[in-house]
Amino acid sequence: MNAIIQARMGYDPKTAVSRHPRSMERLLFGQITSRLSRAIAATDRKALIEALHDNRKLWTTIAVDIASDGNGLPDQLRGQIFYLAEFTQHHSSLVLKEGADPQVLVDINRAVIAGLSSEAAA
Amino acid sequence: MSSILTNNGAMVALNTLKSINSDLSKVQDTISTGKAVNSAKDDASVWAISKVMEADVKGFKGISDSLSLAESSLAVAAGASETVTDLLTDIKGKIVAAQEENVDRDKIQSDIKALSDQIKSVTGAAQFNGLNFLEGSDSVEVLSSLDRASDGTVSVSNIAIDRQDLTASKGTFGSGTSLNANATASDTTVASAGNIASVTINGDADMSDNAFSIEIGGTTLEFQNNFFSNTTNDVSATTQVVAAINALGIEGITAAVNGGTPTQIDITSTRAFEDVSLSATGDATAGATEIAERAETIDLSNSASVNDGDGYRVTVGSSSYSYVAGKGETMEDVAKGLKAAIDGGNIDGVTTSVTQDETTGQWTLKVDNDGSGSASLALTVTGAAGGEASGGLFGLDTIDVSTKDGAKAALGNIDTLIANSVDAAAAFGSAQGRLETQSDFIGKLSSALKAGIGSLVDADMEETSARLQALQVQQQLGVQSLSMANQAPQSILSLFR
Repeated sequence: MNAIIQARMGYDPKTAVSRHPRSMERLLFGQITSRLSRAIAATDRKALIEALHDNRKLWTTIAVDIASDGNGLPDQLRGQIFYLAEFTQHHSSLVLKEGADPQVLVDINRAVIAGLSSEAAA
Repeated sequence: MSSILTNNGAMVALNTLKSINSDLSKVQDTISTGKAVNSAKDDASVWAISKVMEADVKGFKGISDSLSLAESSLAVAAGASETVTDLLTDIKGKIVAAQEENVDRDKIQSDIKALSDQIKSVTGAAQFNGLNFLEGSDSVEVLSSLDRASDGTVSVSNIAIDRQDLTASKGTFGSGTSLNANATASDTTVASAGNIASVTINGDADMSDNAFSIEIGGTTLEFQNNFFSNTTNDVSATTQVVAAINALGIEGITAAVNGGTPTQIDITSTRAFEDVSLSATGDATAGATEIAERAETIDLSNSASVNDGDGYRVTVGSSSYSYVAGKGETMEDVAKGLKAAIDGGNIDGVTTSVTQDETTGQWTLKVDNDGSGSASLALTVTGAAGGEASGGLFGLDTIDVSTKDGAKAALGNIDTLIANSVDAAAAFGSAQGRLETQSDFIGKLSSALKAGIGSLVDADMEETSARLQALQVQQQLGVQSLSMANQAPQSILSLFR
C-alpha cells in the first residue's frame, strides 16, 4: 500500500469504521436506508430511483453470498434472507413501474439493521 | 449504438464464460459442485450461469445490476417525459390565452420562455448513471441474459431500448444523397397576389330577357329576367354584377371587370389555405370550377421512405428553414417540423399550414404570403440524407406569441410537441414491459442460486409476508454477519458511496 492510498483511506468513511463485515454491513444498510427514507419523505423521485438501484445492488450482493456454499449462516435464515432479496427486487420493480409504496423496503432494511446491531455483537 | 454494459461485473462474467467454455463442453449433465439444476439440457442458460458462479458470481450480479440500471433509467425517463408533457400542456394554456385580442402578449411570452427553460432542465436532468434516454437517438443495449447453445458456445442477449429525443435541438442538415425528388414546390415564388378565375356574361344590347346565377364559395347571386332593364347592355350589366359581388363582402373575394374583355368578370380570392368554389348557370359561364388557394404548396413524396437523418430544407425569401427526421419518423413529421421551422422564422406576412390528402394520404406543407412584408418571396425546397435528427421538441425555442400571427402559428405547433412527448412516454412504457419479460431470466438465476440453500421460504411476494420474514431475520441474526462467504466483504465495500 503506497502512501497516497494510505492517506486517502485515513479520511475515507468507508475505512474509518471497523473492518468487521457485520459493522460494514450495518453501515452500508444504514447509509442506503436513510437515503431511501429521505427520498420518500421529500417525495424526490429521482433520488428515490437512485437509492432503489443502490439498494437492489446491495441485496444482489447479499443474495449471491447467501446462496454460495461458503456462507455459514443456518439454512433457515439463509432461506429467509434470500427471500427478502427476491422480494426487494420484485417490489422495487413495482415501485418503478406502478408507483407502489416503497416504505416496506425501508422497513425490511431497518429490521436487518436492528438484527445486525443486536447487543450481543462480538 | 451505445451499451449500458459498462459495468465491469458483466464484462468479467462474459470473459469468464468464454474461458470456461471449453470446460463446459466437456461436462455433461453433472455439475461438479453439486448445485442442483434439473438438467443442463432443460435450462442451458441457468446451467451456464450456475457454472459461472462457481468461477465468478459477478455474472449474475452483472445482469441483475444491468437490468436494474435499465429499469431505473427508464423510470427516470418516463417520469421526465410525463413532466415534459405537463409543462407543454401549461404552455398550450398560455398560447390559448395569447389568442385573445387584449392581452399582455409580452408577459405571456415570458411565461412561455420560463416554462420552456423548465422543460430543458427536466430533459437535461433525466439521466441515470450518465444515461439519458431523452437525448440523442442512439438505441441503448441492455445485457439481459447469457445463453449457452448446445455446442457449448455462449452468447449474450441484449435488449435494445430506443431513446426518445425530447430536446429542442435543430439537428444538422446532412450532405448525403440528394432527396430533392421527394419534395416538390408548386412555384418558385410565394406572392401576395390572389388567384383569379373569371365569369363571362353572355348577353346582348338588351339584357332584360337574360337570366343567370353565379355561385362563389357557397354564396349564390341570382339575376332573373327583367332584373336588368331593356336599355341595359351586357357591358353595363357586367359592371352591375361586379358591384353586386363586391357588395356581398365574401371573405377574401373581390370582383373586377377584365381590362381586355368588358363582359368578363375577374374574381380574385386571397384566401390563404382554401380553394373557393365557382359556378355559373344560365347566361353566364364560369371559366373554372374553383379559385385556387393563394398559398403555394410543397408536396412531400407519398412513396419515399423517411430515414433517420433525412433532412428537408425550405427557403422562403432569403432565409432557409430545415427539419431533419429522426428514427421512425414519417413525412408527416417532416411536414410538421418544416412548418414549425418556418413559423419560428417569424417572416412578416408568412403563414403555414400542413394538410394530408384524404384519398392519397400525401402530406403537403403550404406557405402563404399576405404581402405585409414583401409582395413576393422566393420559394425553394431541397432534401439531403445523412444529417443528424432534430429533437422531438424542435420548434419549442421559436414559439413567439408576441404577435397575433405568431400566437396563431404556435397553437398548431404546440400540439405536435405534445404528441411527441406523449409518444415518448408511451415508448418508455413499452420498453419497461419488455424488460419485465427479461426479469424471468433473473427469476431462473435466482432458482439456480437458491438450489444451494437447504431450506427455502415458501412465501408470496406480499408486503405482509416480507415484513414477517424481515422480523424473523432480525431476531435470528444473532451475532453473525450476512456475508460469511469470502468474496462479500470486498463487494460490500465497493457499494459504499
